[in-house]
Formats: sequence, C-alpha cells, structure tokens
Amino acid sequence: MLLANLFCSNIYTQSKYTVSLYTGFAFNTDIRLNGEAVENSQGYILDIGINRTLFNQSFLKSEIGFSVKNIFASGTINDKSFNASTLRVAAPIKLVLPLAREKLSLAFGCIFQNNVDFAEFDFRLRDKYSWRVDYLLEARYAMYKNWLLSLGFSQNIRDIPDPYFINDPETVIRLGLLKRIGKTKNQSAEAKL
Amino acid sequence: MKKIVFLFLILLHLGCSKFSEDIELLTSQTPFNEIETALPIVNIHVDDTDFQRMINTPEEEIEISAYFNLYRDQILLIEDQKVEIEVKGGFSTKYPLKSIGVKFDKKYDNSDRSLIHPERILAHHRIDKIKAIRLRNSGSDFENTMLKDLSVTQLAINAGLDLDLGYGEATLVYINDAFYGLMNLRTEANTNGMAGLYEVKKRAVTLAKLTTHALIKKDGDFDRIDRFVNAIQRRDRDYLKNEIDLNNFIDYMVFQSYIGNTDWPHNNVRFHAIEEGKFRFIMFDLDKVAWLKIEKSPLEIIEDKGTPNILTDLFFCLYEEESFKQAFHNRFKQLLEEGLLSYEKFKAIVEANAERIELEMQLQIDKYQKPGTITEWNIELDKLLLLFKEREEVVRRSMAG
Repeated sequence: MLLANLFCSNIYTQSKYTVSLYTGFAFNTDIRLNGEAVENSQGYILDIGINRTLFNQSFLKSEIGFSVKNIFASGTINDKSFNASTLRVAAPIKLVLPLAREKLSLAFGCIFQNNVDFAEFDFRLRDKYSWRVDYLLEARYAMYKNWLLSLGFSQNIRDIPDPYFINDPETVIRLGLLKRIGKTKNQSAEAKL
Repeated sequence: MKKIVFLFLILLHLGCSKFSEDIELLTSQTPFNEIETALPIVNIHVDDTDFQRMINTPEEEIEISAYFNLYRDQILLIEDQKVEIEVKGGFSTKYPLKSIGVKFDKKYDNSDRSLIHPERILAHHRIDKIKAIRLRNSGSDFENTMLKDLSVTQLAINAGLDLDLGYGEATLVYINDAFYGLMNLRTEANTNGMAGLYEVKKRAVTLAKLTTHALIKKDGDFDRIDRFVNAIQRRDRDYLKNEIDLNNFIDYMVFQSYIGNTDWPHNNVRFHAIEEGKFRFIMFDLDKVAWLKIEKSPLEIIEDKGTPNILTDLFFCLYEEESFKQAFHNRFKQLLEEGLLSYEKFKAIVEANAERIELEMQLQIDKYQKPGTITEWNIELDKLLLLFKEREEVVRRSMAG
C-alpha cells in the first residue's frame, strides 16, 4: 500500500488494450560477414502491434503484446552496398511502472521474435538461432486522454552470431505512439485501497 | 478469431527477407560459350515438350530420351551421348530447379575424367566406368549455400574415411542451350553407383534403403536383407558383426554424428553388399548437417529419440559390447586429434568451393532469385561456417568427456 501511495494516488482501471506504432533507428556496431567488416550496418523499423494488460495495480501493470516489425536495413560490404526489407513477428512482454501520477510511466521488459524467415523456421526450435530476445526500456508520456508518446531502447541479449543481424540490427532506438482502446474508467486509489 | 488466425497466416507467409544490392549480375540469358567459367558445362538436348512435362509432374517419374554434351574449358569433351533422364529426389522436387538423373545408354568410359573429375577419390573406389550420374539441385540447401553437401562429402574424402559415397563437382547445366541451373554433377549413391565404384555388374549388388516411411529392398538378395534386419531386431550381435564391415560402419557412424546430420539415421540410410561381401553403408544427401540440434552429442544424434529406426538399434546393439564401444571412441578421437576432421579443414573446403562458384552464382540468382542476392548467399555461407564451428566444439567437448 505504501508503495502504491508513493507511486500513484489514483488507480486507473484502464482499457485492457493498447495499439502501438513504433518507428526507430536500428544499428549494429562492429559487425562482420565472412570476415569482412560490414560498414554502416543500420536501418529503420516500423512496428505495429496490439498489447493487452495482464494485471493492473496502482504501482505496476504488465502487458503482453503481438506486433509485426518491418526492418529496412542497409549496409556496405567491400564497397558494395545492399538493402534489405525484413518482416518479423514479435511478442513484447512489459512491466509498466507509473511515475508522476499518470503523466509519466516507465516500461521495461523483453521482446521475443523470430530471427529467421518462417520458410526456414524450425517450429520445434531445434535451430538455436531461430529466435531472438531483446531487452527493452521505454519511457511513456501521456499526451492527451488515451494517447501516449514513448521513447525507448531495445537490444538483443542472446549470444547470436553476426550474420543474423545483417538485415535486422541488434540495437534499436524507438519512438512510439500508443493509444488505449476500449472502455476507460477512473477510480480513486483511496476508494480502491 | 478467424480473422486473427487468417491475418497471422498471411504474416507468416509474408514474413521473409528481401534483399537488393547494387551489383550488376551476369544474366542467365548469356550464352554459355560467352561465360568465362572454370566449371564443367552440361548441355542436354531434349524435346522441350517432353522435358516440361517431366519437370512439371515429378510424381509421375517420367523417363525421357535425351542427348548429353559436356564442355570443360569451353572444349566439347562429350558429344551427344544418348541418355535417359528423369526427375530425382523427394522433398527437393518442390524447388523450381529439379534434380535430374542421367542414365547413359552404355557405361561411360570416364578413365580420362572427362565426365566427372573430382579432386580426390578414396583408395578403394574407381570412377572409370559410369552408368549413371545425377545433376543435383543441392537438396534442402537449394536457396542457401548450394555447396554444403559437396563440401561435407569432400571433408570425408580428404580424411580418407572408409566410406562409400558419391563424387561430385559444381556444374553449369543447360537444357537445349538455355540455362537450367548451377548444380552438382555427382556419381549415384544407388545400385548403379556402387556397381561403378567397385567395378562390378549391377546384379552383383544387394542394396536396401531406409526412409522415414519404410525399409525398401531395392536390388539383389532380398532374403539376405531380411535376415540382416531380423538379426537387428533379435539383437543377434554375433550375426551382425559377421554381416557388416565394421571399419566402414564405425567411420560412417563417426562422420554422420560428427557433422550432426539431423536428416539421419531415420532417413537417408542405404547399405549394400557386393556379391557375398559384408554390408557397407553409403553416405549421401548431407544437406541438413550443422544446422539443427548442433548442441547434441554424437551419441544423442545417433540415438535420434524422435524416430525409432534400425540403424540406431544396430549401433546400440553393437555399442553394448566393450570392444566395439572402444573402437568407436578411439576412431573418433583419432580423427579429431589428427585434425582430419576439423573446422579448419572444412572452412578451407567451403572457401575454395565458394570461390569456384562465385561468378556462376550470379546466373543462379538471376534465374531463381534463391538466394536473392550475393549478400544473402554470403550470409548463408557465414552461417554454415559458424554453425559448423560450434558443432565441432560440441563434439570435441563431448568426446573429451
């Protein structure tokens, strides 16, 4: 209860669902292919998803989501440049910590995603590099009613060889727009507690 | 809910990578006499309608007559040899480039190495008389490196293992002067192939194969095959030790488990005997090695828990005997310690093979877009080497323990 009061005096029994649109800059540092350095290995992402709140307490809530991420990557190897467009399916799991009343919140968690195309994906997961996990840190700002703005950072945490990051870079700085959908109801913390 | 499932399925379908690069590729329309290639060029003359029918309906196993030509260094070495051709392969027939079996009217005299010219052959083999060859699309490695099977087989040959296998080399294949694909020209790993390697008549060969579905008796003494299989089921160790060539069996099991072949031992198993000789095992189709289950120990690969099969049963029946167990482990350790099986050896083979087909991959990419770019091909090559390296580390750790 004390923790709840510290973080937030109001509980918002908010809608269970949030739709999200993220864009961001993705990049690799010191990446090699067949022993050759890949220069300017970077890209842009576009990530569209839906998240569902699993539990919602005044001081903490959790979300699980489903999103599709398109990565537009590029780079140069031996002075020859390439571009790649890659679609990945991701499942973010986040814990959201409300701060400064409802205006600001901090989210952290991880994102699970496929790391190879589904045409060559082994659904029995016998290919140890077929999936990837990124950790995620995100700050959210409630702009207006159900609209939130987010700024975040995610990075792969698994030990995965370089070739898997050529078309889907390891680190992403992301900017997002989120909208709560469905019914929203406010309750005072005192009433709830 | 249905809509969500439908959307998800569409996403799965779309969930792929598309690469592009600013490299001007050789076009597959280029006439073969204008391509500066060190690879042999096969040009098959065949009725185009028959060929299309054969290619479009592989399940009908249509065999058609054709004329076989082969060039090396732009010199025509084999001219209009009469052959029968047929689509070969199981799963790999789904690819637009189909593997083709080529059967010569009469055994081809390859003593001058005009038809097939591998860098090295094992001391117990001959490739002077060849009845049939296969133009192989790389199996499940089609779309990826296009050289995995060839390179892994070369590793076994260079190590001088006591194996029976197919000899191959990368080749450009044309049908009626039009580019068909970059393929592996390979001796057969079937009855014709074994008859050729041991220079005997086809009728001297007894051969059976194990697939995921069944044990298929192909040629020769079927009663003997039955007795052999029954002895495995009875766990009659004495009979089995007398029936199989133990040196070949140990090398075969060592190598397949070293490379982590996961399309084996429940599938892709063939064994044969020449006349009354002992059964020997044939190694082929090494496209699914060093990919899945790379962290499994050699014994776990052989155990193949998911799919019971007679090869696993045969191995563990013999492995219960201390002398066989010691022989297996000693041979494994010897090959690792002497560096005959090593990542460095494999890497050198892959790099040489990649360099050999670097130019010709452009034709393949132009025609099939699988892989879509040279960058994607390089990614697949890098993955192959990285995974093989990891595989070898796992094997060395587990054999040391």
